[in-house]
Amino acid sequence: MINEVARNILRFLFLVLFQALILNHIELNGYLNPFLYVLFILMLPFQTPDWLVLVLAFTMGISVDMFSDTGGLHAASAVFMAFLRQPVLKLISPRDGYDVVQKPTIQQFGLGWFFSYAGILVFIHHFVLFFMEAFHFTEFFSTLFRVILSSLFTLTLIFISQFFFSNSKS
Amino acid sequence: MRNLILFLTRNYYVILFLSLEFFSVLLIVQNNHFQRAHILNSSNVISGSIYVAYSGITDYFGLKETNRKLADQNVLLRNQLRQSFTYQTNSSVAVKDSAHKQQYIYLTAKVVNNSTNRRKNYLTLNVGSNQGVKTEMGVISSDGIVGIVRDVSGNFCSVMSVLHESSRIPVNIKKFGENSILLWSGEDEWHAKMERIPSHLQLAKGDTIITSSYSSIFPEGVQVGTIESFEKIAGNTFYNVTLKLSTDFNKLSYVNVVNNLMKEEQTSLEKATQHD
Repeated sequence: MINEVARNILRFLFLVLFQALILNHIELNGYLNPFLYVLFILMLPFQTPDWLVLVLAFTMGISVDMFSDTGGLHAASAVFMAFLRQPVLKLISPRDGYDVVQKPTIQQFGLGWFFSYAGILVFIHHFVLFFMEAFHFTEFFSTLFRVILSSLFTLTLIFISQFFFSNSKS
Repeated sequence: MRNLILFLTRNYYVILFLSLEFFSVLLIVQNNHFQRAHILNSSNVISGSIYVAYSGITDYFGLKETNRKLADQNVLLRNQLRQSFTYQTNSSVAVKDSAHKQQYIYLTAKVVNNSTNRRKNYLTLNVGSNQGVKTEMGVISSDGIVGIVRDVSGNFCSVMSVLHESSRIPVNIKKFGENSILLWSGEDEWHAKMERIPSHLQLAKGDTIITSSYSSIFPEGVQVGTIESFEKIAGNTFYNVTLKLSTDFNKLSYVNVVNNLMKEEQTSLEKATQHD
């Protein structure tokens, strides 16, 4: 349990710095901005209390905001995504439900499950983020295009990181 | 009362969600306010010092380019030194020059953080109120204009880039002296647009755009960019002008903060006139 907390704290710090120092400087054509920090919210264990997920997502978002001068933009979208984590988990739950000791990883639930879990939540997050940034719907399709491309980019990074940093024995 | 507590405990999750969302949106709205004391921006102590350490590393990758630019500027400045002019005056005539009064003071600063990929782009510089930086000072580089100081802390300041959707900078077409406003439409970091250029002007590709004297923030005549394309809008007497910015925002490393010594005098006078 303690080990699990420490691991999540480390992941938090790593992802904030990675986002602020490397990913925020990546851009291709002004369309592709990956936001890998959402991985932290995705990877929280199932037994994390609901309110804690919200608070952690808010902390994560605010930290990223501090580095990118965006007010509360990331906080708002991260909290929104964390709020929908539970419903999404329920929506795609396997036949025999979740075990409290399990973690939302590819190793435990398979590629298809993880893809829909991460895919839906990342899309929700990016959708809120980009539309809050634009703050109007006049360029709806150009913004939507950014949402889709950036979601795909973020998802690719999430999958790569899953294969790199996960220990298969857990 | 009991019912209220019961209601709160039953719905704490939704209430927590809504209050966190509300707080975030509040921060966003506040962030949009020009000129305001912010706690959560990149000029604060934690992120500021991390950015300094980080740019200490990344600076090495741009050393070659920076050196070249500094050398270029050295040449330019050396050309203006007194030693590079020959004396041709009669030694018996001494002129005390009181006609020139210094209006602008420049301060060198290093860019420790920079973004170009958002709708609202900001830079962080390693100078702040301790070095005499105040809000609404202009920032220029050796290539052209960069932005306007928005927030200042002790040793850092946060600069609203020209690449910001609400940036409005008075500019001037050098050839005609025609004044206009520079806008950034959010497409990419190399281009910007100009407003209300009357269509009777004979524009040409490559015409130089400089800052206008209407601005109390930038000195007159700082390079802004060159006209890349223009088209007449049907049924309108104005051009749609796209210009190429002379500053490469992706490669900024050292910039100058411009302090207009007469700005307060000018703005207070203008304000007094408006009150009438």
